[in-house]
Parts: sequence; C-alpha cells; structure tokens
Amino acid sequence: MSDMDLGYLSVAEASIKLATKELSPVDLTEALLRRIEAVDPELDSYLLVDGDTAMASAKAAESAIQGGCRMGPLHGIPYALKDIVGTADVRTTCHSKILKDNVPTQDATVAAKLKAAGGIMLGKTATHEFALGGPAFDLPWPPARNPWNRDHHPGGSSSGSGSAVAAGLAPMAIGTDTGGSVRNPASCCGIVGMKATYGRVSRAGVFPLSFSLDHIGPMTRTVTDNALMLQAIAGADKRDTASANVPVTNYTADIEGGVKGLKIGYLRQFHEVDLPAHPDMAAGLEAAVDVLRGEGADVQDVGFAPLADLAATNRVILISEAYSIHRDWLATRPQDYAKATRDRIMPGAFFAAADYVDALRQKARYLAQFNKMMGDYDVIICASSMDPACRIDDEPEVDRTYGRQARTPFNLLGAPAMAQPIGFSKDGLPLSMQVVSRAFNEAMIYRVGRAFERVTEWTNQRPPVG
Amino acid sequence: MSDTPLPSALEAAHALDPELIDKSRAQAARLVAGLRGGYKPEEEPAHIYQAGDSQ
Repeated sequence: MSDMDLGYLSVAEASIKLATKELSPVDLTEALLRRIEAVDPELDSYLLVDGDTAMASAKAAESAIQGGCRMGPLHGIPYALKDIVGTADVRTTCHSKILKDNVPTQDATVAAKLKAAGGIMLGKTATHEFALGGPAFDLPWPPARNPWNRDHHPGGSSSGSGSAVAAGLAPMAIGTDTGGSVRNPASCCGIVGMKATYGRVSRAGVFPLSFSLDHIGPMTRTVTDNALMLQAIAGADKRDTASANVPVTNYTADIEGGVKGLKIGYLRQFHEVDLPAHPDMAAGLEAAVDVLRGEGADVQDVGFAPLADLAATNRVILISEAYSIHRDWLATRPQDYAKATRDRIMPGAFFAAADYVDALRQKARYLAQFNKMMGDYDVIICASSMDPACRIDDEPEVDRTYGRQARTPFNLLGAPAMAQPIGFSKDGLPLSMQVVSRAFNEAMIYRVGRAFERVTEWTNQRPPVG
Repeated sequence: MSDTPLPSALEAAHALDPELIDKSRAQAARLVAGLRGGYKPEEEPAHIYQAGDSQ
C-alpha cells in the first residue's frame, strides 16, 4: 500500500490488518511519519512530532502482537493529541508563548489510557491558544490549515487534530470541547468528532479552560473509529472530581442496528430561526434528515430555547472560569498572549459574581427542559456550524462566523453530541450535522451516525493534499 | 474609557491595548443582557442548596 493509502486507513481497517499480521505497526507508523513530513508543512497541524518515541512504541507493539499479546483494537494504532493534553516528558505548550517550555512530569489520564491501550503517539497538534484564542498569527507557531482548502479555517480550537485526521496524518486524535472545540474542527474538516457526556472522559492532566464545561473527545474519519476510540478513553477517574462513576457502555455492540423505528427530533429552529444558515448548509441538513427518514426513522420537528440565550449562558460561565485561571498571567504578562486570546478572556474581568450565579441557575433550567424533551426522542439532529469554513486570514469573517453555531448548548447541558460530515458546499468545503442524545447515551448517537454513514459516501472523500 | 477606576490587575493589559478594557466591558454587558434573571426562590437549582449532614 502507498503511504497515502496507509494514511487513510480507518482505525477499524488498520486494526483488522494488524490483528491478522497483514500490516505491521512499524510499517504503519513509518508511513504516517513520512506523510507528516511531506504534507504537514502545508497544514501546520502538528506542533511537535515525536518520531523516535513513536517508532519505539511501534516496535514494542509489533513484538507484542507477533508474540500473541494483542491488547485490543487500538494496539499498534497511531494517534495525535491536542497540545493542551499533558504528556510526561513531552513538551505541552497549549500553543502559547506562556507555556512554550512546559514539560509535564505525568501523562494526562486520556494520554495514559491511549498508551495503555497500545496506541502509538505521533505527536502534539496545534490548537487555538489555551483552547480559546484563535486562529492567531501572533504566536510562536502558526495556526493549522484546512486540508480541503488551506486558505480556509480548519475550525477550532482543536484545529490541528481536525486537520491532521482529515489529511490522513493520523487515523485518530484527541480534541477538547468547552464551547464546541471538538465539533467545530470536525465540521470544518469533514470528519467525526464526539463530545461525550460531561464526566464521561477524564480531564485530569489537560489544561483547563472552564471546569464546568470542559470535555475531552475523540476525532476520527469514521463513526465506528470514533466509538472505538471513546471506548478506550471513557471511564471514571479519581484524578478528575467531575468524572462520572457510571458504567461504560459497549459503543460498537449495536452500532449497525440502523434507525428503523427510532424517534428523531429535528431541531431546525436553530438554523432556520435563531441563526439562519448558509443555503448550502441548510440544504445539506435537509438532505441528511431525508436520508435518516428514508432509512426508517420517525423524524419530527422539535423546538428548544433560543440559541442566543443558550450561547450567552455558556459564555458567561466559560469566560468567568477562564478568567479565574488566566488573570494572574493577564496581569503580569499580557503581551505573551495572542490578541485574540486576550480579547476573548478579558470580558471575564467584568462579570459580577451574581452574573455567574445567574448563568448557573439558567443552566439548570435548560437542563430540566432538555431532559423533558429527550424523554420523547432517541436522538436530536441539528446544525453544527451555520456556515462552511471561512478564509483563515479574513478576520472580520472569522469574527462573524465564530458565534454562528449550535454547539455551545450541549456543553451547557453536558449532553453527548457528535458532529459528522453530510456533504460539501458548492465551494467544496465540508458540511456537517450534530447528533445529540441524553446523558450517557453515546451508543445511540453512534448507531444513528453509523446508519447515515453507511448509506452515504461523505466519510470516504479525501481532501486535495499530498 | 469608563470613569470606573481600573483594577491594578488590568493595568498592564490596558497599557498594551488601550481599547481592550472598554471592548471587554461592553462584551460582558452584552452577554449578561442575554441572561434571563428574575428567578423565584422555588426555582433555585437544588445543587446550590444541597447541605451536608451537619446542616
């Protein structure tokens, strides 16, 4: 197989080939490292590539598999980590001058879990600074680019993870999501990104943005790959006080179950009334819902609170908590932040304590409303982004589209939400939808997402790079 | 610039970008305006009042 074909092997495909010894972890890792070297200078998706450690891990995996000790479906599969995920003895910068020399002594739980599953870390990916400020051109490293058109934004904040997975520079990657930062790059780059239920994946060792809203999530090219990655990283963890002590479901057991007879709520209000979407996105969503209806789902329109109110509640909590984390550095070294980061965090200095409490109260009311709604549906379908990715150097357009999205509600609600590709705009940029469900019902989201993926071709497309 | 005295923690950021404080104050006000407020005591989220055994 060519490096390109190896680069675009899904996790599930590679896993079978590794299990049957048709493919070696060393060959797969070498191919990906060569591909990163050839393609990534155009995309800047990686901040750090740890080739020596990756090859050592690949050789260890090869020996173990040859010796009959295969640890599971991720054994021998390479991955990338967003560079706010702490990695022992490997630089973890948060894409910031402030932490440019930071080398943690301990792995984040999610990094340790992937290592324990036999995965091979290729490197650390670009992010918006501290998972918030970007895209920015005034940082020590450039922002990642969109592989579908490198002049366009790859989404953020998990920009590098989205770009690398879409470009076949890693079969899977970790992102983090506080206001949509897994699902935005997944949407912009045409891949699958899951923000699991709050507390489902430990945040221990990951640099926080907002402890009430932070989530960790898998980013992959297919729905099944996403389920396999979440399986490896989900679970209770004493190192994260918000970690949920809820048994982890088998995410692939019913993934081929289809949608016949399932009840799906279609939240078209978000993209038709609250924030009217770009016509290509609106048409893509209608077509996607028609596919699910055609597969036998019972799709009904449903309404919820206005997006603007949900977004304001999310932002008051997020920015208050982020400011509490960053205020000492903002006081002493503001010049070391990107302008975009300062602009987004500094409003936190001007909220009253009562504003923050009001937002928490509002969050609880929305949650009660959401749980009532979810009693009637297996999943909800809604927009992710309202627009295809804009040009990365068009600052006014980046600002205009930044809030034109329907992801923040599900950080606020702690509900699982997955973005997946549903086609392309007339300009060839990815379109996406979200599949959302009640807490800890990720398996149902994967089942619906997989039913859509199985009868469409969107996840098989390759961007025009390398 | 507002007449409100600038907290010392913001002085360095203000010196770096004289528009930042006013922009941030306005953005905070816009977001707070999006909160509904006006809650009744019986609607308070239970988690705020969860008391331990000692209370």
